[in-house]
Amino acid sequence: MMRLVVIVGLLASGVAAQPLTFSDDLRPILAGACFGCHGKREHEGGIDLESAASAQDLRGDPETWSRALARVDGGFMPPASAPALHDQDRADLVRGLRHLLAGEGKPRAGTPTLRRLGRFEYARTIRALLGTPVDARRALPPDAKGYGFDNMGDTMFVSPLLMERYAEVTEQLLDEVFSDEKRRAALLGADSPPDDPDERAAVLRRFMSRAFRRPASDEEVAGRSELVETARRGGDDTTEAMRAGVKSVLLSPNFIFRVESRPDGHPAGEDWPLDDWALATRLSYFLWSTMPDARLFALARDGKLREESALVAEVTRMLDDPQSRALADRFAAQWLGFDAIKTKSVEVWRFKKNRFHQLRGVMYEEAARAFDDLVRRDRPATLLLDSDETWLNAGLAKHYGIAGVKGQQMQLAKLPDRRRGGVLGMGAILSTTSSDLRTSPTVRGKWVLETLLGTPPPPPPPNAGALPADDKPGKDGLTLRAQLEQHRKDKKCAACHAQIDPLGIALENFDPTGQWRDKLHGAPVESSTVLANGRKIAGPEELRGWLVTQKDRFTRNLIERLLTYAIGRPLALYDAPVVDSIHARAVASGYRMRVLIEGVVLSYPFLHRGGP
Amino acid sequence: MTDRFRQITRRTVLRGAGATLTLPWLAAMTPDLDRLGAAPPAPLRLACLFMPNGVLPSHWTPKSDGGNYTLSPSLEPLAPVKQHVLVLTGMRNKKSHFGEGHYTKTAALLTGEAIRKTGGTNLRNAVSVDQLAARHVGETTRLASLELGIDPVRPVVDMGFSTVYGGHVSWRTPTTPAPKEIDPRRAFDRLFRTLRTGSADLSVLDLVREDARRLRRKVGQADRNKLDEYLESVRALERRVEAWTKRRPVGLPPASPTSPNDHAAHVDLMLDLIVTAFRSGATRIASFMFGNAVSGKGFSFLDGVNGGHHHLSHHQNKPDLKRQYQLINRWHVAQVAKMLQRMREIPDGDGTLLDHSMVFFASGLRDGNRHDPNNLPVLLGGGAGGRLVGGRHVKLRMHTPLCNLHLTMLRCLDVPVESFGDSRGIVKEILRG
Repeated sequence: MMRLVVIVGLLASGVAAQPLTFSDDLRPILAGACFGCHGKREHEGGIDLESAASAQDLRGDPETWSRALARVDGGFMPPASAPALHDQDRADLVRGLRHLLAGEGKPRAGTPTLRRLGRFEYARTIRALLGTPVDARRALPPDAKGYGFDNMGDTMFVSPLLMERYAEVTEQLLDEVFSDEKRRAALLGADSPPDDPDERAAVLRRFMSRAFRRPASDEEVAGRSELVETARRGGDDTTEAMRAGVKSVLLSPNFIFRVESRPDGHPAGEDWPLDDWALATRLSYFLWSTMPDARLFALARDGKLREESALVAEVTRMLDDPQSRALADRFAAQWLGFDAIKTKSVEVWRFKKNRFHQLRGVMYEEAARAFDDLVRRDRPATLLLDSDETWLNAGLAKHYGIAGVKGQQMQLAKLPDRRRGGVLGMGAILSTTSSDLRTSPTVRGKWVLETLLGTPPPPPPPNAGALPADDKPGKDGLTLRAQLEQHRKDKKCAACHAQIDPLGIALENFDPTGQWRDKLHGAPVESSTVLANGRKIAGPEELRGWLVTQKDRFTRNLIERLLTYAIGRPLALYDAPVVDSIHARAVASGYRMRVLIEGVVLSYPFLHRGGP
Repeated sequence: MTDRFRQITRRTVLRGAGATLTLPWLAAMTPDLDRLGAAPPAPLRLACLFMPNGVLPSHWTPKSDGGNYTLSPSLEPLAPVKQHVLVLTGMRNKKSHFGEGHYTKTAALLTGEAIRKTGGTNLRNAVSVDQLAARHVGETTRLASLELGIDPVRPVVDMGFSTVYGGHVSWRTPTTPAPKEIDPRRAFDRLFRTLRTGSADLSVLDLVREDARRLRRKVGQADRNKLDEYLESVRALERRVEAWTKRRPVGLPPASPTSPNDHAAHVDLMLDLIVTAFRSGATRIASFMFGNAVSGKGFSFLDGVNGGHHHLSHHQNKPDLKRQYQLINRWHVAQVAKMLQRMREIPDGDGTLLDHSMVFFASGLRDGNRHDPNNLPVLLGGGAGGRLVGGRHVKLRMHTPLCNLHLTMLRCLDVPVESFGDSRGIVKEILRG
């Protein structure tokens, strides 16, 4: 039976959200705002929204409707040339469509593709397992990325190149471990390998159970034992033979991949709850980007990890641990894109190249610490949008024109004015969203929409043209801003650029290195603008003022990004209710960072796995 | 003259890399090459070179055609090797036409297939021409193929396409790109240094293969595909281990990583590596990406250019931008010309390395300003063992499938295929007799 009533986050939010129906609530809004161009008579862009008469019709064409949802949510539709859509109607439409599209069934685990250890995860895991440092960048080729992250199973390819690197790195690692008495003893459990074959097998079993992140099976241990004993009979000394056994563990798919296999006898096509070992592994790679520690293994062995109270306690313990800095370095750096600052080039002397080059690492640290601090002290995630303090050292403070910060150490400093605050005042963000020779209001605006708010603008048409590489006024005497405005007059460009550009123009006081400027080529910087909704804003402070009003869009997006990173698959329409319920908890807690993270860990798709 | 230039280039690299690199390693290695033993007599080699962002059409296509044509401004650097190059006009890659932007046109350049629009799940392309060739002729060489590039793949979904598409022209399977090596030092080590292996290595690999098979039974289909990728990689590794145990190891300077900051020097090294790999018989198949799709690489190192590649490609018909864009096109051609010259200097069998090679060079777009996918800029250098007749600008019938050329190259390599992509036959016009 088809039910037309949509229940929106009712239980979780506690906020009195009215149930919306397709025919009574959504269709009238659609009729007023959309059918004029996307109806039965006119179907611009091949889109007809009028023919869907019921919620079922709508679910029958998820591609069209999720695109419509994204366009309305991001404010790209209806275009400025059409009658404006009232804010409340827009909110209702987004809420209602999201839930109709999600369906009304139970949450689903989805099928994340088998993930291998990414190169940074590999390095950290090896360090935990063998006590040996590995320079990931040097040792292994970069991982491809999907959906913004390099830990998505779909794009974690395995290639001959990678396999060769694993083989060689493993060889180097074993050289180091076996030539270092302490490490060798830690691995073998004694100064020299045991004389008794059974004891050797026991050593292997212990090592394998850590490396595979679950108890090794008798069959698996027997295979290694046989390898070791055969090598001994062939004339290798015992240490050398054990080394081959260890090598076969480090090259095994059970080590290289994070296996989450279906329990024996579980019916195909149905979700299953992860066992304790797989859960410990998911949790550990989510929060620490490395293998589980002794305590997590102990909880898994005792079968206790799946108890909610134990899980919550572990999240707290793990976030308190310094290793949770991985969330800043692996999650936030990829989400916000500030990992790119380390290799950012600013081409010309105009931007005092040398000093900038030195500052790149500090800028990275400013952004990473900002995120890490929210995790560590459980502060509101919305502080990323605006804040009255930031992490600086003397060099970066000088670059920013802030007095009173001394020394090379990063320190949390109160900002003296409202120019900066939150990620939009950070050099790492301002610079990675700039071209080499100029700022790019369009790229910065797109970054705000896509990265912060989760509503990327649609792609430009191929013949859209591009702005010059430099911001010196061209031969036609037009400034960059004037050229942008000209671009926006073009009707086919206007719908999106009216949304995008103002968000970047408000940041024009920051040059491509993130330094404040009042003038550009002798003329005053113009950073006053009008947002697409008619709101007038001037400069970064007022932009942040508007952004804070979008904090629910922002936190929703952050939850979606966190969940994607944690479970290793892109989110689907059916995930919307899960995101809603985490979001509702976040709202109730004042957007506390740990509530978001805990919500992800306790969510159905994190605790389950599905698959054919 | 050439040698002098190359020395200077290497010094530039050393400066760029700081103090980490103490040896001009490629030169240091040359005497050792001879100890590798001579390659089998003059097998045919294939290099596929990709240039991002298209060309300025007015300065690309020569005005006249046939054997007596005059090189266009962008092709002028080919002058010293003109008789070894075919300039091909009129080809298109039909299945790359759908969709916006560069990605469809990059990932499809060597596959002739329409890619699936996705941000990362269910990538879909086809096996690329170089990889198909490698399957057939790669069995006998240390590496079946060599994939090199300059840019890492960036972490974004752009216009709904995973940048995996824009970062790879070589595809081993329809779902798996062949990752490219961008660090010249590591690429070199992979080609020429002994893979360090213990005595029990083959049994170690047997064991991990057994693990994978056991695992395969316990997981779903998508995961099985992943494990198959793993198994295939283990097999490739095994082959290398076996090959090395038969060969005397070559003594070479120990690895010290470097990644030149200098784009020109980086490209020069990578192309040099391909030539060296061909010369030594380490592989017969190579691909190289001058940049990823939409590369914004700064070209201010060229006189008269100030800005990034992609920006300048969208020249909006402004004369100054067009001029700069054209200089970048020309620079790419000059690098190809330099590579062909090097290959011509290397004796190989009864001729030169260039005589026994095919060097394919193309962009997935014609006019970068409009993303025009028709009449692609394509060059084919080398003699293919006497099969190709160079020195000509060949105007093919408009819209000749690019896959016809791919099929022709495969046939030259004696790969027994009937067709490739949307091919409708071979390009007879470029073949002898």
